[in-house]
Amino acid sequence: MTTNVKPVPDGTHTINAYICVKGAADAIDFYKRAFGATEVMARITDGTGRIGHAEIKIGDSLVMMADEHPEMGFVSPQSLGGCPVLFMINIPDVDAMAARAVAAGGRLTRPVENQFYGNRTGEITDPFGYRWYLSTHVEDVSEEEIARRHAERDKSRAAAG
Amino acid sequence: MSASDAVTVSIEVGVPPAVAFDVFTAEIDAWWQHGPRYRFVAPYGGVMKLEPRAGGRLLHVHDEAAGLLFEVGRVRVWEPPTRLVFSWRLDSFAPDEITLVEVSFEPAETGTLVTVTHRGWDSLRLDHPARHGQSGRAFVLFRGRWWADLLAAAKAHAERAQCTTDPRGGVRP
Repeated sequence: MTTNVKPVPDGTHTINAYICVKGAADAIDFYKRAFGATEVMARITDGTGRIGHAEIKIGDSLVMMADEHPEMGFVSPQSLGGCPVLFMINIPDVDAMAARAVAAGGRLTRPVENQFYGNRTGEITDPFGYRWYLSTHVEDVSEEEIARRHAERDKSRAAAG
Repeated sequence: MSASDAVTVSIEVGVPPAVAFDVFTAEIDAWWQHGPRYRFVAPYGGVMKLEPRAGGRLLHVHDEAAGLLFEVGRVRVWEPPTRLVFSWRLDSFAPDEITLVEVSFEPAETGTLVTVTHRGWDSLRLDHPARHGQSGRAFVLFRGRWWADLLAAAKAHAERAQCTTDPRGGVRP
C-alpha cells in the first residue's frame, strides 16, 4: 500500500454531485449547450449502451452522472416523478445563462428577477427533471435593508390577498 | 450478451484522427501507464509495443532478445486511421480464454472521438481472477476505469505533443 496517496483528489470539492439521469448522453449534450459544461473524463458505457459513469465540469465544479440502473435502485427524477434537490449555479450573468439554457431546451420554471437580498435569480428545469437555480449577486444589501424589503414584500403580498 | 460482456470507454482528443491513431499505436509506450495496475507482468516497467500490421503482436517487453516478454494479444484488424482490433489477455487467462478490444477513431468537433470497446467478458467464468470478484455495473466500472485512466494519459500525451510541435494545431510531421 502506498502511503503518499492524495486523500482528496485534485479538481474536486468537499461535496460533489452524482446524478442519475434517464438519457445521460443527451443530458451531457444539454449541459454543454445550456451551462457551458465540459466533459472531463472518458465516458464509460456498458454492453447495452447505458452510461455507467461520466464526469462533467460546470465552471469549477464536478458533476458525475450515470444512466438509470433500476436494478440497483438508481433512478432519475423522471422515474421518481419529481426532484427534491436543486443545484445553485453562481454565475456573473444570470440573464445570459438562463437564455442559453432555454435555447438549449430547458424550461424557465421561475423567472429571472431581482431578489430583496441582493441576488438576481431564475430557475431552469432541464429536460431530465433536474432543477438549476441560477444566481448572480447584483447588490450588497445591509441587514436592515433586507429586513425592510422583506417586510415590504410581505405587506404587498398581504394586500394582494 | 449481458450488460457486462462489453465495456466501452470514449474520450475526445484534440488531434486529428490520423495523429490519434499514431499516438495509440506507434507511441503506445509513451502514454501506457506504468505499475502493476496497468502493465501486465512483473517487473511492471518495461516497454509496451504494438507491431503495426494485421497479425502484429501487442507486447509488454522486458528484454526482447532474452525472450522476456508477454504477448497481450494480436492485431485482428489494422485499418489506419479509423479502426483497430486486437485480442487481449492477462497472464491469468487459460489458453482458450480471450477478450477483444476494438478501438475506433472518428472525426469530432474538437479533433477525434476515440472509443475503446472491450468485449468477450461473458466467456470468462464468474470467479475468474480477472474479474476481481466483481460483476454487473461494478465490473463495468472497474474495467472501464482502467481504460479511462489509460485514455486520459493517451489524450494528455497526444495534446502535449501536438502543442510542442505545432501550436496552431496542425498535423505533426
